[in-house]
Amino acid sequence: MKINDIITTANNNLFRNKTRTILTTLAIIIGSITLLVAESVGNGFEQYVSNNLETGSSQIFRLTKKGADKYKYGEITKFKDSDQEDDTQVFRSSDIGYLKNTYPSIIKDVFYPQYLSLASISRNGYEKFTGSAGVIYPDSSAKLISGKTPEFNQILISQEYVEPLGFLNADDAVGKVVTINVWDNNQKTSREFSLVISGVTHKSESTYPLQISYETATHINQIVSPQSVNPQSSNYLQIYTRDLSETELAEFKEKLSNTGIEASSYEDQNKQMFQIVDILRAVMLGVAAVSLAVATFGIVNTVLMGILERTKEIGLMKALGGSKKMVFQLFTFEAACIGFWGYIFSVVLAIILGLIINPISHATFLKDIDEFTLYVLTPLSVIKIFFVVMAVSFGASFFPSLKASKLNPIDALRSE
Amino acid sequence: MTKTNSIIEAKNIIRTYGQKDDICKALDGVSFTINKGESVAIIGKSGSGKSTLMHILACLDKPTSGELLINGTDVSKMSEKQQEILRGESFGFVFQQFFLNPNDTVLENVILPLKINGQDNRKIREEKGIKILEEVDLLNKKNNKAKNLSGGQKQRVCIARALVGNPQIVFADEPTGNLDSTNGETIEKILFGLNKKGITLILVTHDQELAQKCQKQIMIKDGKIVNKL
Repeated sequence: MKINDIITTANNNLFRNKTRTILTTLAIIIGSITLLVAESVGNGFEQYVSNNLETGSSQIFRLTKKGADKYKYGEITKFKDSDQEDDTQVFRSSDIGYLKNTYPSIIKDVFYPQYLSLASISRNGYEKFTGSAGVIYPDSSAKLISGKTPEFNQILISQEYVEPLGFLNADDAVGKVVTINVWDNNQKTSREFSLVISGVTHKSESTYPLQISYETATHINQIVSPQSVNPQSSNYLQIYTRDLSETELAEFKEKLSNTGIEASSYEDQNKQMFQIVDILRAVMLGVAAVSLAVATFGIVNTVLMGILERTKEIGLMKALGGSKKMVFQLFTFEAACIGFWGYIFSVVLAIILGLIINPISHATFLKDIDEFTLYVLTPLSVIKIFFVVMAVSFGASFFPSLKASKLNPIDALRSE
Repeated sequence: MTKTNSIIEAKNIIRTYGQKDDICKALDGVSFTINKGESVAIIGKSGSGKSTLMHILACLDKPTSGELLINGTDVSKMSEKQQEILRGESFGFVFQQFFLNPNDTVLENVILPLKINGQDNRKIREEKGIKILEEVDLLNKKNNKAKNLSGGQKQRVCIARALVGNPQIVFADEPTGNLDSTNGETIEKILFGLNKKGITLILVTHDQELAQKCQKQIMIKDGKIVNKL
């Protein structure tokens, strides 16, 4: 039998017992849909996480001391005055000197993390707006719409500020002057600082909408709250290193660890997020695998029933010169056709599902996270799962088809 | 190679079922020759071994011992593939129970052997099918479903299917067994008409009258060839 004849015959055989074909196809659809949804939601999470962790730098590390009390939500720990804290828990200015002197070839700079207490941001002739500002470190790879990362006395704004501050677009904003109001230490008075916009970033959930350089932050803090620039002690230190290879980094972390200091980069923190996404994805794929396994038994059953019903026909085909291979192919291709059509329906449904899920999720539980598209169906996922479904359909029909191919034509012809 | 005019040569064919203590001899040393273009009847009562013999001759079953030559070639030395080709290209089958695919059209049923053997494309296959249907006078039914035909029509479809591949030998297993006398006569007429065109006809029947119309009769009783039933 020619291959195109086998395919058309196998496909036509699906219409012999329509109810059974429809039921098996439904099982395939349920299995495939679960797989597609699991993939798409996984994609959604992954996309969200990777889009929002883009500003991390591989050369900035946050240092903590191993003895420090790990904060746990909802747990109360004993209050300690700063002079009661010992050196295994907090950093002091002596630590900065120690780190710089011990690792001169690795560490470029050590600094206390700087936080700005921002009251508002405004532009001459426009209203004041609230905002929060963070520090952007030297080689951070912020995704810029326009301009560049800020230098001293410059500011990087998020795109959501472009319109309220009266700019035509992102390009228009670059180079213009804005004023930020920063709270004094007592939070009663604020001071104004004029900064030039260096660039505009995409809106992001995980970074500050306003970002200034470390130098600018230190400069401002020196005026509004001098003690935060040179605190008596700090739970964190930040270091800026040269570009390290993986082995150098591991070695460096090990050395720090031996002296009671833990170092984690943005990447380390991201890794955890990606791990969570991976776990989530694995769990959902597990569920999908179960439903596909159920569909597999549906196919096995369908093919077995088909063979039983068509024993005579198989006998006839073999008597008329049909080979084992031909009979085997007829039944495996029939299963493959069920898988194929089931999958086509599933993809259509999965696309429709995306059109429903995303607007609903944005309107309800993801209302506050615009950036998060829950359901992302990619062509790659569709292709990947296509091969899975086809392999499963073929695999499920393998042994029943093999059985059919070995049927003896005389036994089949004698059955009457 | 043996004599050119012999198409089937059976030498001491034995076919047993079961093992050791429970052996049943369906065929017990059967030998005969069938010449090209002959019409031969294999006659016997139910359980005599006549169907087993036909299955062996048609390469659907293997003899336990003995030699079967078809066109001078020893069948036991042919590969499975070669036997499939032999069945597909040189043999035609007509069954008592028709074995038509009820939900397929008459034409589809007729061209099934061509499709199975991967011959021609769909268009040429259908042309051949239509030509054969004309011969059995069923062209007007070509698009009817096989299940909607009468018994006699079904058997004519069956004959058309046997002929479509242009076979050397047609095996007919009780071709008139399920038909009334009028339809039976029509079928007989067609079958013997084929024989006149040079196709070797091997009929399996328990109907003495039909058997007498053949040029040669092979009578089987308890697995052996006998002179009288």
